[in-house]
Amino acid sequence: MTIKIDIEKISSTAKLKLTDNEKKLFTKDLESILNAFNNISKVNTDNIKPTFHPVEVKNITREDKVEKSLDTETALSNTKNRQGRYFLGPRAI
Amino acid sequence: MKYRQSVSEFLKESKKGNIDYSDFYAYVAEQTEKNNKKFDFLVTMPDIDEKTIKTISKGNLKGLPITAKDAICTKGIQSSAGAEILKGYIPPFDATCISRIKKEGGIIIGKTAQDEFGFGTFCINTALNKAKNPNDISRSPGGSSGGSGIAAAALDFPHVSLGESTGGSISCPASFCGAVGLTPTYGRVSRYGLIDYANSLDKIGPIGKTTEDVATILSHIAGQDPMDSTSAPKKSEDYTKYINKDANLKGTNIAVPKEFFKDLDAKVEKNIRDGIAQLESLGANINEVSLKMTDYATAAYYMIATAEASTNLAKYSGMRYGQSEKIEDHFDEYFQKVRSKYFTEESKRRILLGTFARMEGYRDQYYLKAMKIRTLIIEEMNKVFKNNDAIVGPTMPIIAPKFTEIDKLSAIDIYTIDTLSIMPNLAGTPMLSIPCGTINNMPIGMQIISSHLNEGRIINIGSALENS
Repeated sequence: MTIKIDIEKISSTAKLKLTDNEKKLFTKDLESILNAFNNISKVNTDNIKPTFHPVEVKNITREDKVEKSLDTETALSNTKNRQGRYFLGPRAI
Repeated sequence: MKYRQSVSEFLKESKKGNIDYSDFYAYVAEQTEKNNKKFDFLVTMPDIDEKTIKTISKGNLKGLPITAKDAICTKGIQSSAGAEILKGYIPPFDATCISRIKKEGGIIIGKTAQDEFGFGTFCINTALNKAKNPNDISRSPGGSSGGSGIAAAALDFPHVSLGESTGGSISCPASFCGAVGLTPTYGRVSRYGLIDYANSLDKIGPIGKTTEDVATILSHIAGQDPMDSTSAPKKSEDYTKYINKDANLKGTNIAVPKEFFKDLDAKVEKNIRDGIAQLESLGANINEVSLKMTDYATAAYYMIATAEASTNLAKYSGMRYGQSEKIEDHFDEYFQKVRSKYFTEESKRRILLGTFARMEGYRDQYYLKAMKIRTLIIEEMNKVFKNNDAIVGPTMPIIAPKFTEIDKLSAIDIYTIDTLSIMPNLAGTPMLSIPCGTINNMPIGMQIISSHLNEGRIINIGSALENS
């Protein structure tokens, strides 16, 4: 089965605005990568559990105690977009 | 030269108080600058002033110079993961591995070049550096921790670099540059403070000149960390005790998978076969085995890694850190503007691939399928480890290619070059890449893989080969 992809839908979901040349390039690249990687469909994985972490660790939590955190000025030190004590972001609605 | 010592020789002298640190760090700065002019391997080189030198007073790494991959956060020193979008980011905290190094008296002398966010095999997917192989500047140093590979191979004073591997980014530059790279078990070294690529795959590990050098550093950066819930609940240990001074491998069972010798450069194969014969001559039993899942590893890896990367990179939106633009649009347009302007082509490719793998209708077919294949890969490798202490084979199928050769490769060509290092990285097992001969002066790496948390075994085998 040859895979065809919808680059507009993928790039919009990924919050990337592509130029026409990029659309052509990535459509070609993704289709050739996915067609090459389609060999995994041949592997029988019935009743096989997915591995989300290669080394299983269970319920590791740290002690629930208040520790020192970043002060406001330090937390804001890497942005140009601020208003008073807050990060300034773009319009949401 | 008076400072051409091994790390252990330097630390012995340092503890005795026999090092003039002002003189030593003047030499370190001169050599680092000289090499950086030739190989462009540093993104940032902090000034080591007298005030810093005066702080050198104690610790098991007293006064030892350390470089770290740009993706590892260093308080007050730019940490941009080789990415234009993070240029200028100054972390207000240290990664756990950095605070542990500093606590033992190590000094951070530079942040090393890398492919943007670790996306690459050749250290070319970055706008910040044009890193070159120290053995031949027309060739790649390997990726993604290319700058760390160069630092380990080229700097002539006692030093170790911290790299990071997701699919082979410690082993590949170690192999291409002629250094020793140790990728620990997933979770053995805390990931806290690492600018992430793929959470279930990322591992921080040392690259140095010898197995003893990397074992020394691993001893001080390993161990559980309350700041990383995926760090393994096991204390660190002194890994230098596994150094095999007598080069004796009697009773060691080593598996050689036949699939690791498919599509291999013939001269690389000859060197690796000679290295395996050397292991046998030191007393090891060599057993040919089959790891059939090798054929599916690359596809499974790229599906998992890009799916995780595409969600991790969602945080780069021009607001809290990194590059930004004037805020005047709706959030959708603003985020698209910043991300489209500052991500490299390879970052966009991987974000798009990972987004596709997670999309409704494809998630089971690609992402979940890849996770199940990872289960089968771990099971297959564990079966081999039942009767064998380690798996051995080539690290990379080729020597470092020329930049002009890389230009002709497609994305899929490049991805498949990673296959051999992908197997242990997907399985989260520790691996050591160690120099194993040269072809026309270009180094070749042999990889030694063992079971989870069995770093001691790979150090033992690697050092036996080194000391023989």
